[in-house]
Amino acid sequence: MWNIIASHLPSWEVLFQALIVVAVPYLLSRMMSKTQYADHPPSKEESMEVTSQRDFTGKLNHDLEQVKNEFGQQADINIRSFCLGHSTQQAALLFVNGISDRELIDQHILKSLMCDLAYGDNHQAENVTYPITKQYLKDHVLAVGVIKEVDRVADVKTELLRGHAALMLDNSTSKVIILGTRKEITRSAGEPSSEILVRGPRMGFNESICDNTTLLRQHGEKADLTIVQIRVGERVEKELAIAYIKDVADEDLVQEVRNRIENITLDDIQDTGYIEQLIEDNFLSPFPQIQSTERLDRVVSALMEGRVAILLDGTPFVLTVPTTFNMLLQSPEDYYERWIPGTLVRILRYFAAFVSTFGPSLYISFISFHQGLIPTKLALSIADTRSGVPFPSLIEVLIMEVALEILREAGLRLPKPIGQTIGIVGGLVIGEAAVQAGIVSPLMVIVVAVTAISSFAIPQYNAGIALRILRFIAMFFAAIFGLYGVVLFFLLLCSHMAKLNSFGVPYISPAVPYRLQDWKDFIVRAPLKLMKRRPKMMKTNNPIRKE
Amino acid sequence: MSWDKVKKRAPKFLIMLAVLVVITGCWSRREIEDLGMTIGAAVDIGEETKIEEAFEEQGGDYEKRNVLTLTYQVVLPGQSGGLAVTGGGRKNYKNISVTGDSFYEVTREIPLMRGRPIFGQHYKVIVISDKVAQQVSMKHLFDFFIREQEFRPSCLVLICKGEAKQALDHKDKSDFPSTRLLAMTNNQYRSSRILPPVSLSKLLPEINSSSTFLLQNVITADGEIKFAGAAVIYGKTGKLIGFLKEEELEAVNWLSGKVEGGVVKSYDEDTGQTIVYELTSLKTKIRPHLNKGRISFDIEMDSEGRLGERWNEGDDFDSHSMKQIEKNTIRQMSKRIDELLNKAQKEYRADVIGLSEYVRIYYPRTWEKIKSNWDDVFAEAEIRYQIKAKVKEFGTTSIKVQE
Amino acid sequence: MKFNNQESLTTQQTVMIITNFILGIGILTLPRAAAEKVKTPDIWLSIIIGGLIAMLAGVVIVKLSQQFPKKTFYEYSQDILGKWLGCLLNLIVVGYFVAMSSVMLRAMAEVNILFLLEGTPRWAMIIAFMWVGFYLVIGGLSAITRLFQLIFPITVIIFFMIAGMSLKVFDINHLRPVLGLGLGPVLKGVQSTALSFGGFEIMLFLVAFMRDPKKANKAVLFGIGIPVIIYVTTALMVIGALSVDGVISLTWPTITLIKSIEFPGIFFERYESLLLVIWMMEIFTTFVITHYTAAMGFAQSFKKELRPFLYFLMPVIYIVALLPVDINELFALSNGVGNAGLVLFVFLPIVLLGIAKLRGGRT
Repeated sequence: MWNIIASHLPSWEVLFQALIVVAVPYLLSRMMSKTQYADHPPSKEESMEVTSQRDFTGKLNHDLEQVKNEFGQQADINIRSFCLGHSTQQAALLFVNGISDRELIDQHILKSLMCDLAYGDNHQAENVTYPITKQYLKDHVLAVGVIKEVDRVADVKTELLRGHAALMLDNSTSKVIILGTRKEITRSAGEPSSEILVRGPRMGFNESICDNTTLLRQHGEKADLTIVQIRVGERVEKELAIAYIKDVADEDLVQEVRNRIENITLDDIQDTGYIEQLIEDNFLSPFPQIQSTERLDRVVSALMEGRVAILLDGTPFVLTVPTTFNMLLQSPEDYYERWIPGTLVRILRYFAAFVSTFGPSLYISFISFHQGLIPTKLALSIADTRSGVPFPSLIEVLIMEVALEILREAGLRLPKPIGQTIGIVGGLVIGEAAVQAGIVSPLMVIVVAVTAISSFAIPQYNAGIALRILRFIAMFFAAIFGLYGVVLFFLLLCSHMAKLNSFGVPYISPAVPYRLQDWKDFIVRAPLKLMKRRPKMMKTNNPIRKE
Repeated sequence: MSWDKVKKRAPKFLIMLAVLVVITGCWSRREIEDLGMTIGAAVDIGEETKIEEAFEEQGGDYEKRNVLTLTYQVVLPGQSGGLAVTGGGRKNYKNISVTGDSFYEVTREIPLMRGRPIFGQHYKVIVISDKVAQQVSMKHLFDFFIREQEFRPSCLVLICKGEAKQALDHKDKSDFPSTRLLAMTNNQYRSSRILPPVSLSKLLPEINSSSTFLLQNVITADGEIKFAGAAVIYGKTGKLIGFLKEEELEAVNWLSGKVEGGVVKSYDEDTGQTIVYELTSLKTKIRPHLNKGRISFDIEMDSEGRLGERWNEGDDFDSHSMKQIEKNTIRQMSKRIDELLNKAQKEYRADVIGLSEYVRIYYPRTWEKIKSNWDDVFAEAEIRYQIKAKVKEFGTTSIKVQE
Repeated sequence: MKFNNQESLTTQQTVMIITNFILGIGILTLPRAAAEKVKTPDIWLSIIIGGLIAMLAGVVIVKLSQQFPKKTFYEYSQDILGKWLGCLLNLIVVGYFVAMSSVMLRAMAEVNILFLLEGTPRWAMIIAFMWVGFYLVIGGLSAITRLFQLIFPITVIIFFMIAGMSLKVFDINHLRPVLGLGLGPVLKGVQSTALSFGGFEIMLFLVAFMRDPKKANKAVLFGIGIPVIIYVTTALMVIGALSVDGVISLTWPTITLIKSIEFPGIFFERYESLLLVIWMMEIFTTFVITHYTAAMGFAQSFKKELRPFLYFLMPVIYIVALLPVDINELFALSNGVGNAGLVLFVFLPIVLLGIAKLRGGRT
């Protein structure tokens, strides 16, 4: 009896391993305890109060001096002093060179203030009583669309820097009139070069939030499209807009998006990429949890599904949340083409995603671990071609994959004419010379090429990057455990995706939970006649798309 | 050490652990080109090769009896430096023979001689010499091959009359001998004289249930091979007791209905000229009967075919003439079947057709009683059969010589 | 907006959990375990009967759980049996789940060593597996459910693909005669087939999480029904290809079957890798849910947080997994766990239900 128990007592090794079993995940989870998006209430009290409190006095000279002080030595502030009409009432127009619309200022504002007031139409000139009040100017003279009044120097400064002009009058109330003279340097809305379609609208966003919201209004649903404006950035304030369709989008979702955006405390937000990274659910995940796109149609269709779009001034990339994994493998074109090609292309993309993630790791596990599982003839020919290769398969794959990634990166940044050269040189080096030199085997080259092509077949660029990162991890798993490692990695990946949420929506929906309704737009793109409802996972207010 | 320190050092510890795993990991990694890819094996009566004898003289000996010689066919990877061109289509292989009394042990002697140990996952065939099969029970012979998880259960088992090694060494180097043997078993649709392939996984139930079964026989001559009939393995002893000739094997296939295609040649009764009937399909219905403890069988064979070749006179467009051909064919088949039954029941007293299966299905309770000496029951059983042949068509032409 | 991790389970999710829990080692060993006892080709009948018994037991369990809405077994066992006795029972149940999850790990390692990774140490395989499992488990029940739902279609598709391939070596004669020797042998096999349906007991805990506990009966019937279909298919294809005589002597008959099929010309020639892949996924699901349930047992018995117990159980499961010295001991342990399950979850719930009814009647 004792012997039996003794023979089953775990040895010290086992106990040590048992310690490792628990220690590693414990330490890891300690290190990464803050991966989930933490919901802290918006803190708005601080920051705002520190700015200067100096008000205007209504004395022009004094006020101008204040503004000059505020701007310090900056040269591009332009102060134009003049007298209103015939009178001697002094006034000054302030604007910043370059970002204000000079034509508007010269032709309409200054002209109407100086000339038209005096000579313009006589009957008006007669009736003018001096000193001219602000109210009069606003009511009768300034033919400018956007006008407002501010009374703090700091506000004047920000408005000036945003391209508006400030009109100051002597002996008037202490307020300053801000005239909307902002000139935007915008591109015309052309086809976005990052997401090209064969068929579909050629319309993309540009850098101006004004244009972008206009585009949305033009092409989206008009009545219920709600655009909420928020200013973000502590130092450089930027215009940000949250767009959603009021009676479709889930109110909780909109509120959550607002909360997260209002929680952002960052000096300067250059691109929606910043916002994406600051509001995403899990920043350690390799997957993009928020979709960014330049395409108008993508955003509009996302809005129609009950998602929320986030637009930022100064970037053509618009975020849509929540994002699910299947969105990354969809292209608007799926819907423009008929459903059969749409479906087939989608299946192809899922396959491509699989190959691009698991291709090299399967190669490693079959070549280095499970040689019995490949057909005999193939095994023999691989053994034949590999007999001169000095490296184990992992190193072989790493060499080629890293070379390919470098090649891709190099080709991406280079001017177009040189880019082609890179392609030729890289192709030659990788395809021919490496094999000739016996560094890699020809089959390896095929595997690498196929995975590379597969990763380019994924319509979203950032999703492609995610899968490429995962490919490398999968390779290491395969190098340690072979096929078992690949399965483990697959399970890890699935676990990760199962845990991941994007704004309350499971990242892997609509795959799970099973909702047949949503599967019509998943791997299969069902005929439009059948797609009558909005995705259920979005918990939309108005689930029926059409009767 | 305080908790803060632990926390601070945790990343370092984890990285070290990860590095450790990656470095010491890859336990099972073996590159494909470093394996002795083995595609076939042959088992002979123990007889040491000259090299082995020379080795032993110099002390390379270990405790063993020279019962068996195991020959592995190992593929040699090309030394062409990564380009898949093998000179003139010649296949490179080498047969390695080792002698001893345990398959496992002799297999593990090979790593002492070669850089690439045996890798058995691409096994295609095992060829057993008839002399070995006569002496050693199948149960012992295949214990190793079935137990060892490395070998494929789909591996084919053949018997070679004579030295089994020879079956793995061909003059014609355009193909590996093992794959050639494998390819030949796929020709059943062209000849009914090939036994349906018996793989290790099919062999196992036969051995477990101690039933009699057939194995394809190979004969060799001057570096060429031929499938010639079948070897009869007797259930109780698991040893080879005799052979069936090609034509007898064909009759077995007819009786058991395992025919995908083949020809039946007969001679015209009157003229003695050749008539060939090509079987395109053959369906067999076997029904056992139990009558007062005696077992009898009714076998119906229903075949369809076409006229393949005809030397005698006759009008193919005439259905009467066709009937004549059918009759001839039936007579020919009956003759062969009679010969076979005679041999199986009288000479070998062994159920080579596999009728036991039907007794088990139709009379499971009786089967439980008689299964231990089924072969004797079979020998006494009455087997009635009935053949139908139907010539469906006669090809593209019927030569009509105008007189 | 409340981003709650703990969503309540739909009926269909419950079905997924039960199914994934049940499917485990059985796919690989059930044909042999049953054939050893039955010795006729009627194994599939034993499996169906075993499944029916499991369904019956499942329904009893559901009835019991429905008596205590929103409470798991760990909580209401103390209501029924009193604090200390209930606590003791909880510990036994936890022990059962720990043992089960260890058996899964070890079986996975053994099969891997035999068929995929000769020479890789067991500890490495088991530890890696446990870590991946742990990563999922800390995500809570909803993450586990999602993963199960994600894996299940993959498993089913690949499984039936493999089953379709085995038609190539399928011989209907191996399955005949049906009931040749009567029901006797069939019933002999029921015990071993019923063991492989261990897993329905998860309903003791799931009913509490269900959105609609009234449908728990339906869930348990479907949850056992799907494994019945899969097991019967397995038995049919294995017996049909290898015959009863062949199966008896094979340790892992299903793998041997798949190894004996070759479809040359496609990229793979042999498909046991696919079978092993889905099998490992099923083992993973079983491991994860047993680990989670065991930890839940501690947490709810002592009314504490779940996480520390998840950590605590990891080394325990690991050590138990390495206890069996050889494969026969592993099979013995596996049988022992199955028999314990039979007592714990077939007979005990009836008793508990009786006590609960009596007490309910009194108060």
